[in-house]
Amino acid sequence: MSLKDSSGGQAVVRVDSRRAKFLAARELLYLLFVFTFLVVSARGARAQGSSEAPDPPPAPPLSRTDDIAAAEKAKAEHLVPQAMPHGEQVFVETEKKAIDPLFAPPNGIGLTLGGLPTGGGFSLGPQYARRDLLRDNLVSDTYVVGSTKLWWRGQTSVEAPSLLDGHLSLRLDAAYEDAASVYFYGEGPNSLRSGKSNFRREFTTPHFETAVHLAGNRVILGYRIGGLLAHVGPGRLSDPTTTVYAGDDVPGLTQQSHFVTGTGFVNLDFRKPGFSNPSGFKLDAENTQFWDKTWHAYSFDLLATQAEYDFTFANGMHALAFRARNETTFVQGNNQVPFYLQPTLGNSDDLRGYDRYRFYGNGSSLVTGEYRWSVAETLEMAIFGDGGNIYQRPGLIGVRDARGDGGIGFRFKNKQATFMRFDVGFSPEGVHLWFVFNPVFGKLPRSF
Amino acid sequence: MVRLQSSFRQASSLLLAGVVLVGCAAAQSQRFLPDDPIARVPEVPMLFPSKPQDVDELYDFATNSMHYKTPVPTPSLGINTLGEVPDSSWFTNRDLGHMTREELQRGPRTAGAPVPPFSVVAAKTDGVSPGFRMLDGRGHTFFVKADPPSNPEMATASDVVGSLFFYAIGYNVPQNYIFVTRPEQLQLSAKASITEPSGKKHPMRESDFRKLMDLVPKMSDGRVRLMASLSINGNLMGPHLYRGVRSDDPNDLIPHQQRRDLRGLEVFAAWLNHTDAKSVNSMDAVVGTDADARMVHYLLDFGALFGSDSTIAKDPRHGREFTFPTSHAQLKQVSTFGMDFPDWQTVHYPKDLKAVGNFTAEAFDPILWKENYPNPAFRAMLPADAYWAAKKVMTFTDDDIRALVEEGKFSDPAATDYITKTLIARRNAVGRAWFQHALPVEELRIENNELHFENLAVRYGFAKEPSYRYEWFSFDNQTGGKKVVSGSASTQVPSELANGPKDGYVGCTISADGRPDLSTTAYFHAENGTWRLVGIDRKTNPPSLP
Repeated sequence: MSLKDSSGGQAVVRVDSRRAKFLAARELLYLLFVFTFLVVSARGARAQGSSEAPDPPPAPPLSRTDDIAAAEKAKAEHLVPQAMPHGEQVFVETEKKAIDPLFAPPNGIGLTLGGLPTGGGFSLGPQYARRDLLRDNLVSDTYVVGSTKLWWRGQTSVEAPSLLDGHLSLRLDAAYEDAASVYFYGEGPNSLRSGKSNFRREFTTPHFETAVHLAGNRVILGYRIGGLLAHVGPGRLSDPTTTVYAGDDVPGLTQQSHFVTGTGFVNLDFRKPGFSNPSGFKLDAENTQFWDKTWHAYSFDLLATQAEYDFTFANGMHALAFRARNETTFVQGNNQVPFYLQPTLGNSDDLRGYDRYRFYGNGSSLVTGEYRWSVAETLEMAIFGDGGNIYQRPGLIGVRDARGDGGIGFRFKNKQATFMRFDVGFSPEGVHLWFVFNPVFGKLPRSF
Repeated sequence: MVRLQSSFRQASSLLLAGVVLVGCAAAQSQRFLPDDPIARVPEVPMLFPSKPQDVDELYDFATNSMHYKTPVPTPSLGINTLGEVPDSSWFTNRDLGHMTREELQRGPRTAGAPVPPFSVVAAKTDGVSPGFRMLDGRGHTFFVKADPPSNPEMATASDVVGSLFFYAIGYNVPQNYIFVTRPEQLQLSAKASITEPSGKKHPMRESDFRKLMDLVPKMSDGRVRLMASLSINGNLMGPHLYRGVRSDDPNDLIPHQQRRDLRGLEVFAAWLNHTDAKSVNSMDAVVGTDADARMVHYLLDFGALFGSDSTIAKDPRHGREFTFPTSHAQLKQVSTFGMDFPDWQTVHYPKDLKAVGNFTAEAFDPILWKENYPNPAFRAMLPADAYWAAKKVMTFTDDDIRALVEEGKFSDPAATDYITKTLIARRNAVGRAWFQHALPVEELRIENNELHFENLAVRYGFAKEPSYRYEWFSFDNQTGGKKVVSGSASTQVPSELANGPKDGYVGCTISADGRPDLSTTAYFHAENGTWRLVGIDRKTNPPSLP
């Protein structure tokens, strides 16, 4: 099985992240698989237990040694090859014939879960992946996923994740994504919940990325060049954005553009691995230039930075984790930032007490704090608080119009990796439940 | 760890009734047979043409994780009438007290470390822990593993030292060696293959192997330190389970979860922090041919002992919690929002000794210790099993422990010192804990019509010599009937017993003042004017657990 990052479909995939996702996905499916087999395995255990000692020999023994030897000889008459219990046989066969080929295919056709942007719902689709090309040095991955909300996405990629002894990675991908009903509440920090609308967003994106990996992957520098063919239309739900809002009030609502994009990025990761959480500092920054090639009216720069600091204690079983994130756009002259590429707040990994895509603006700031404690190797809990604001220009960065929330989370883990997360966020706008398959402090959000 | 419920009392009475059979369920009229107590289990040849059978690790994990509760107590088997484990294809009493330092350090290792030239024939890589198979200059096959880069010397030492400890205790283990070589001395065989993470196997190139070796920590002079495990001699038949019996082995009569040597393994595992004691880390092999052919049962893979978890240092949870949350302590973690800090979260580890990993005697409780996921034999352990094992643990002297730890060949003597010191402290914790749940009297004998014995808790300084009560009785070996001699409350054999039948049986139940819940009953047989110890029953009391 493969599992896509639901916060962004085209996340930079490298050796470690690919393996981690692969393993996490396996973990999840196996978990489901294991629980499906609980009854069967219990039967299997009984079957195993049934192969107990044979009936004793009838003759009274002369000595303990004779007694035992007689029992052994009696058993020797009825030996059969050691066999798996029935439950285990079914388990292994199912794993081999059904689960692995479909959900954990080393190579070939399988199924993939996820891969849509947040809000897309549960998604599933066929995948053709080859991880064995050029002696495991080239990975190709092609998939199409559709969701319960009728969103879908198709992507093909080829990647050399570890060239020059792991110091260089190359990736080429192309994708088409149809997000059938993305929410929009209007621009700015004071948008009203009653202003909820939805729009359809179609993105077609080719990318080529190259990255240099230094200091044992602690430092990654890279550049990604690509294109974005954007199309926006009425969403499939009621209250389409095109009806609720006037085109003049929402940049890009009536005029869609095709962009050439260029993104320079740097990732610094100085965290030490731990038993439940890493500890240390991590910084991600990227600047994307959007050149509007259609109207020449929507060119802008998006500078996104995210810093994370994790402090662990009690032998790594407890952690205080902090994250600060900022996304700011810069425009030249009369250009505007189209609303469908604006930073947003309200999601499973930012303002968790608010609706998804609750706030749109030309910039966003976010701070998050979590107190995490390990309940078991496979389960971690967290109490969190989020605060952030949306602003229309950089001068308005601050606590004015900030929104906050708090909540509690349950994280299901494989070693340090969270493969499943259930967070409940509380805010003045209500209670929100998030059941997702990505870590809360993941990569920088990227909608294209 | 033992979790004992009220139904334990029933099993306890069964034990006292004498259900301490070696395992075959023959209907007996006599409690003691002429050759009791046997020192070795007779075994018939393994002539059945069986075939290997693997164990699915995930299934083993899933099914055993479901059975985390203590099962209904069942009698311990695979023991003689003294409660000792006789020699068998599972276990060999090694007379630890008389093993020389050299014998301890040699252990099962008769072949010697690999000798050059080294020819690598196969490898696997999962990106974390490289491993490969190689032939040495004598044509011996070795499975080779390395340390994680984060903790040089840790896993290789664990594998070697662990195997020596388990061998000294009495288990069958492979021959594990630490060997140091220059990477260029490891030459690829023309037929070498490598299995990639994708699962694809293909011929191994020099670059593949060098890439693999890049993951191995290098010593300051460029050499690499590896652990080489000699391939087990014989036809490999796959792992043994910790429940049921093998259907293809005529000598495997006792359900594994009832074998004292496998139940007691829990105590050894706790002492050595062998959290990864599971079926997959075992191997059965048919050794010998024709009339000498036997299925021999091995323990394998000791890379996750002490402070090591093979590929990283040991998770502090390991040894105290199962992987799947099942304990009250974990429930408390949920209900208190993590504000309850279990003692294992606040212990100190030797941060400056990377070769040690996370190993400590702080907060070590042998009774609360847990393997990574429930092992059926461990869950079924009774205090009498634990007592048997604790006795063995206590026979390791400080010098024995140091001698074995030295075989880890740590470059920093501080690592040897630390592990030795910690094992000594944990050894004492094991003895102190389990000697409270049985009356630990040993070396029972009658000399000049007087009963002699030694209290192990006193010998090791865990308790002061208590006052004892004695109850002597004559024993009818045919019926099992006991006739208590009134007024016999000393170590002297009552005259009516001393002057009884020339081949009669007598017994004495010893209890300590203040501990009426514990007693030890010894049975003696009159033979040629002397009294021979033929049986011991122990009334034990389970620990109370949170």
